[in-house]
Amino acid sequence: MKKNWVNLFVALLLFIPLRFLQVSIDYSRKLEDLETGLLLLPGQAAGSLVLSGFKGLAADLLWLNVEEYWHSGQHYKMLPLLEAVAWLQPTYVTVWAVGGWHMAYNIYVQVGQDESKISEAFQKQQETWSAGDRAKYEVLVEAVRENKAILQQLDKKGKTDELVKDYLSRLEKYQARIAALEEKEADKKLVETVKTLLEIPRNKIFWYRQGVQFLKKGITYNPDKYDLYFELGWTYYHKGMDYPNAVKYLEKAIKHPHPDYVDDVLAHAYEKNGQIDRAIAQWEYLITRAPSFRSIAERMIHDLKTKGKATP
Amino acid sequence: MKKIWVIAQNTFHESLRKRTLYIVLVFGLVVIGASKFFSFLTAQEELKMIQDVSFSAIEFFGALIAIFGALGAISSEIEKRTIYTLLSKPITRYHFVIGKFVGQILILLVNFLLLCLFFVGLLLFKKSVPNIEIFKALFLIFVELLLISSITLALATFTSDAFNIIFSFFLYIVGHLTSYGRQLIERTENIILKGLGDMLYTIVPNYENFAIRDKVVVGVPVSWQYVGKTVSYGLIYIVIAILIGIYCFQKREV
Repeated sequence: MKKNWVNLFVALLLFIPLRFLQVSIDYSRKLEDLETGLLLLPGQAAGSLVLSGFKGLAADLLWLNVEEYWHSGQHYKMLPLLEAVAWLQPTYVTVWAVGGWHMAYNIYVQVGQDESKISEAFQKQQETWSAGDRAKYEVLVEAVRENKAILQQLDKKGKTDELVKDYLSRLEKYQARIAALEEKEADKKLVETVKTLLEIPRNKIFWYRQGVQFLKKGITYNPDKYDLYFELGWTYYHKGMDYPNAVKYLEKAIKHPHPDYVDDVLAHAYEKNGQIDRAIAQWEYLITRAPSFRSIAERMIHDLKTKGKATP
Repeated sequence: MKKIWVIAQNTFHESLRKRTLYIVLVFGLVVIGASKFFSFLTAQEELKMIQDVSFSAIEFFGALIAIFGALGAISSEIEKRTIYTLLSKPITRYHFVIGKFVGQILILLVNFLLLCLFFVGLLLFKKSVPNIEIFKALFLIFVELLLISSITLALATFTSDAFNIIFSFFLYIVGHLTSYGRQLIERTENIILKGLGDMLYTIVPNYENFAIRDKVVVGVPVSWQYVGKTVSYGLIYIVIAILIGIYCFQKREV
């Protein structure tokens, strides 16, 4: 029986090294980024999985919901889920990449899909106006015209900070004038229609910026991988036509192990940013790095040297 | 040593006769196989889903096997009264508890290897060669299962099956939440509460230490040093559980 007490004593004594080991493990988990935050998720199934330590599985269930919403066109419903998945597994770069893409590309398009329908309805209504109405609602006609121009410029000229500032100030000018018209006896439905139209470029800018912010947030969790630098660089390059920022992030992407197409996009970004010499150097580098790019790179170098322009 | 091995072999053979473990194993294999149905996703997403589902299935069904296997290891011997025959021979209670645990290790190892083989096979079928990080995650899951089994076995030496099963599952959930508890303790200013919390944090097995699979599937590397520390943690806790089990079983009247 005396011996038996030794068992208990040794067992209790072993909790001391166990405690030190746990402190050391906690430190390592912090150091190696193995910790995850607690999140109370919507939905019982996902919630209980998190509580039982199956975070990856919970993230997968939410991801399947994201897929479902994506295919059914319910983009807005995807957003809280994307945030939740990103919170559960912040080092899962696909979530950040896909989330940023959905915001800057898909939702961006979705918020403007009714624009032509509303504009057409407005134009039809215009045809029924009397001379008095025409004079009274001149500001609305101008606002719709300006709105259309801004929408076109958003996609053709781009979304650099300066341009966005210009678009917004132009929109604001009309908003003030429409507010003044509202105070008079104006057709409320008509004014609301125009206001809805004016919201479209604002929303587009908002979602483009949201996408960019989401990708930037993803980079803070994954600073040592090329993926999100590339996604952000590409979004600036392709969607925003914001070439200085595109170059900035693509240059960061190539500092980490990356596939050849990243160098390809960077060469295009240099050219669009007006850095022709660097673009040529980048194409030359690509020939040495990836021989499969030789024919296109040589054509690009030739065009840049002779015409100063290669990318269509 | 020979006595322990004989009991271990006996426990292992007895477990092979139980249908429950086969059913759990089949369920585990079906769940891992079902992860193949995510083929509507992109290749990268599908691979992540397969890994997530497989890791979770290996851990969850492994935990079921660990708990149910250890649960009946001692109580069934008492119920069938075979323990009287065993203990009347030159076999001490110390041999009996350790032998039972070694038997559990064998059962877990066989089930675990089967599940792992199926998982690795599925990865290879998807043309993805498993890297070393996957094996690190699997190894830690196995040590976690051994820990679960040792705690259930220790509890089985002095509690009823009903209490044991509830407590083991409760501990499994709490053990995954202790790191969140630590965050709460760190914010507490009351010294007594802090001390009590610290003590609980040490006593309750921290299963979250072994949970690296969520990180491994998204490409976060885990150092060998971390694996080493966590395995040491698991082994020390297993020794504690077995010693407490021996202590309680020595005191128990059978």
